[in-house]
Amino acid sequence: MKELLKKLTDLDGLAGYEDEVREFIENEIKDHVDEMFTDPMGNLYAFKKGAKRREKKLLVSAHMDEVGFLVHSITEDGMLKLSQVGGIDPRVLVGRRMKAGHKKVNGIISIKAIHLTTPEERKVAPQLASLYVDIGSSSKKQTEEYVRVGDPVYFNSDFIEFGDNRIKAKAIDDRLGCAMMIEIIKGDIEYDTWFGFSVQEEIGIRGARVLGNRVNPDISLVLEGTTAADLPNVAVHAQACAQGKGGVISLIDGKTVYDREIREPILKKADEEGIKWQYKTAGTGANDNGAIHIAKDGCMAFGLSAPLRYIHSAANVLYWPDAEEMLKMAKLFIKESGAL
Amino acid sequence: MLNVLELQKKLVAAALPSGFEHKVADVISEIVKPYVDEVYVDALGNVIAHKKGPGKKIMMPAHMDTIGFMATYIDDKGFIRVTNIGGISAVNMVATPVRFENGVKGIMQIEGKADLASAARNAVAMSNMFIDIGAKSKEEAEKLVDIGMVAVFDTETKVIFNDHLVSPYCDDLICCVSLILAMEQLKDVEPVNDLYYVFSTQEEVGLRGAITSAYHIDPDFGIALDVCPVGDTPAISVPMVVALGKGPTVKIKDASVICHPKAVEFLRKAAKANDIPYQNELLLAGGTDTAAIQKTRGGVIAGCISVPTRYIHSPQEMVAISDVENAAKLLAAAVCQEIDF
Amino acid sequence: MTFQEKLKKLVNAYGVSGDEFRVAEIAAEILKPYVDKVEIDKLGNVVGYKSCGKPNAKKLMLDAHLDQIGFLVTDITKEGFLRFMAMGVDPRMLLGSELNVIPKNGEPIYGVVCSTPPHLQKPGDNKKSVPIDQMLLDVGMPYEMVIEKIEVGDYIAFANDALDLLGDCISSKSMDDRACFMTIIHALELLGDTEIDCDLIIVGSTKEEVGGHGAMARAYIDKPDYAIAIDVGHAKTADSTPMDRTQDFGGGPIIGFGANSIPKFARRAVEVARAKEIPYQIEAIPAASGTNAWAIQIVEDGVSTLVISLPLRYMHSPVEMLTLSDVYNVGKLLCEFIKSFDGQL
Repeated sequence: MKELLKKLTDLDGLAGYEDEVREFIENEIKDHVDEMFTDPMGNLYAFKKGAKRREKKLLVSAHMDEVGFLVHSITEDGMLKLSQVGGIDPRVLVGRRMKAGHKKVNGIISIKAIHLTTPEERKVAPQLASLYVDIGSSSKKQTEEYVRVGDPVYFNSDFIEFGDNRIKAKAIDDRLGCAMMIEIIKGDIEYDTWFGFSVQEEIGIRGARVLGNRVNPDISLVLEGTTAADLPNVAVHAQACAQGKGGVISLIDGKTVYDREIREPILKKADEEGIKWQYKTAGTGANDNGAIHIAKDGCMAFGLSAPLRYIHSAANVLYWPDAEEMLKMAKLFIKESGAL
Repeated sequence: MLNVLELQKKLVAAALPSGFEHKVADVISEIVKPYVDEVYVDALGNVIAHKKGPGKKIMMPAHMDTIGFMATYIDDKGFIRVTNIGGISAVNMVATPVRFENGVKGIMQIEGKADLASAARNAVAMSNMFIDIGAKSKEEAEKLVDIGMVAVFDTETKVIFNDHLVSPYCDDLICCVSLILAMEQLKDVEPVNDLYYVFSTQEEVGLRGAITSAYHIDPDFGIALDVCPVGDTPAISVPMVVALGKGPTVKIKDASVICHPKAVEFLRKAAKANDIPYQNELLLAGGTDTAAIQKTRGGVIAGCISVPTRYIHSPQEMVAISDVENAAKLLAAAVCQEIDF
Repeated sequence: MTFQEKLKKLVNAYGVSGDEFRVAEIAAEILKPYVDKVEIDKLGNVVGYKSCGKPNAKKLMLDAHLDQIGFLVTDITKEGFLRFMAMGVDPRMLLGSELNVIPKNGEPIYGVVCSTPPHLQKPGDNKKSVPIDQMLLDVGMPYEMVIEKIEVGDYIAFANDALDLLGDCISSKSMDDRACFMTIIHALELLGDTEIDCDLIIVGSTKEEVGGHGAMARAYIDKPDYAIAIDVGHAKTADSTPMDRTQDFGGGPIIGFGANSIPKFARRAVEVARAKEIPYQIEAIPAASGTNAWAIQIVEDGVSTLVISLPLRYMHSPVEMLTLSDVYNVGKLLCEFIKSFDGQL
């Protein structure tokens, strides 16, 4: 699965431009599913028969889009001005390497050298409106040969293993969810299951709304990445979750109150099988469940995430054993939910 | 006629925050069973009570979920940290008595380092609050409260001077009371329309129960019942014409919806024809189940009757009992009218 | 009536979000000659259908909203003045402005928003913008007369009619978005009886300014495969900065690229513009487009959406300004797109 994650995070795809990621996934799963199709928004649907039928339809999903930018305008001297697609703290952008346009030319974001600044100026973090991407061009005309207004711009961040079993890459949120689904689809499953690879999650869980309408499940399992603030300057009760404690189980977030009814039996089973898990102790954030659980007649929701540090930046950090525990929990859910 | 105070007390005792409506759903189902032909619960827990009739399908939601808290962390000394469920202003919660779903009681307080004097209202967040249940240690606390348990305001329900009712959760249990009163009034009346009384879930976190039940019922017309703020106390920041004791309101607009003019006329007509006092309501802030009905499927004409309420989303809200009773009368009169649109 | 006369009749008409019935009648009249049938639904949406006559044809919806921003009466003071709340209006342009109260029955009632005379202001007052809840509308009548005609909850709109400026510039209220409804009319005029491959659904929608509820309902009922939301876009003004999302006044239709104005659809529009030598501009739309496309895109099974905008100065003011050359070019682009569209992207 690690290889799979590397390939997936190396791909580029932001809201509205998920094609590259979807094509890769289609190729990976096409020989392992019984039905596969795409809708006009770009959501990818796959149905896999299991050994048994389900009484309650299950939809497992993860989103294909990552956070990034679109070129908003090109200045006279050929610099790219950006608009963000998804929530990004502008403070993580200065000094960053980027890839711009469909030709993926290299570019960098930076500001004037420190020697030229005053202490007062340095107290203020530059906002996106004052930043720009320099691709080394000297004119608007030259830039336009490579990049156009409306083109996507991505973080340029390689997949690196480091430290104690840790991985750094862009877009682990939510290519990890996609990788897990591909792993599961390639194996055998107990019960018939629907899988949805959604689009446009980062700009308001948009693809998931149509996913929910079309599949209309009774139970929804969303595989995500969630923010781990287990850092020295953060009080324990405010950390949301921590690395090393396994998959993160949602209780409540900005868009969903999760159902105890399905959560408790699953967690009991997980304890019996020695699977590591933790509760998310913050009520913030949201995921595709927010749209799926109130689509049409509504359904029950379960949120399972990997504790990720520095999400929505170019350098997401994952502790690999947490991903392994999360996969075990996902497989357990698919099996046990058939009996609910 | 059923007694407003007794009904409110019963509902308050069973009510829990959004997503945990099962207890109050059971209480309400028992009470309303004799007034309708069928009662059932849908995928999101909404209680749907259907009184079959000719004419058009009318959906009338009042939400049975409350705002409240969920335990997220128990610290080394046995103090409990929570997240809010629904819109809560942390600053209003200092010194509030709370009660967990299993009966354990506590007081919500604020961290010493969150300085109220110099902080703006918004600078104090739920993460600065904690609940003291009297435990001496983490182990003691963990025996009583689990992470994931929910809590509500543990304050009194009582009637004070001028027949004003003071209670937690007038939003929206007092409207559930109004809805039940209306159902009782219509019990033996030959229905003019096909009535769906809905006790909806998860309104406080985004009208979620109403969204799915409206899709499921697919009504021709909707009348929601919720509370609305008033302009007759020193607590207001924006002038408002609505006052306590001057009748329920006919909603024209709130932040989530502009009521269709035909819905507004329909309710005003019913009020005038039956001599029921009413007020006009326009709100800049606040959303209600009305929006969920209006936006469902191909669009539905929807309106709302509100019970004017003081100090909404605080541990002690206040209504005039006459307004609660008149809201019930107005709803009952309205749904007996023919719908020609 | 000439095109300009129709445009002016439409923008001068009254129809604030939630109460669009009067302007819907006028829009339906204007649309009728160009489609097979026209109806006004219970929400006030105007819908026109033009079938291409081919079996299994895809459905293309063209939407422009008819509602204008406006106000609601919240209180009547004992002196006969009105307090009001606004929907989508910048309070800084209200002092001294002229409004019409629209009572349920009867003629509009004219009023002026009160402003403090200069000799009564304190130093520094004229730098502060007055919040709307402190403003008053003077309808020039005593209390007893006011309450006979006006009720709390009545709608209020800007009073002024359209104004011709130099060249083909026109300034008026409600150019957002009725000018775009007229671009669709121009497209249908140019299209005439040309054979096409898609069924067209023309929508003059309601309640866009408060969340796109009208368009959402039509998308649910008509189930289009494709939808183009034609709305106004910000044109550069003297005080706009390079970082504001603005386009050139007179630069032609603005084609959006992004999740809500899908790239495949947008690229096709650009191809058409180039092939037919129609001036066009491009804008990046990273997330919500601020148009009906946002609501339409995720209704039920999902709709492929495109956003095309008309450059407009001073949006959401009583003096929104456009140049007719942009209006005609948007219409031409729509017409040529429809002609070349086979229902596949």
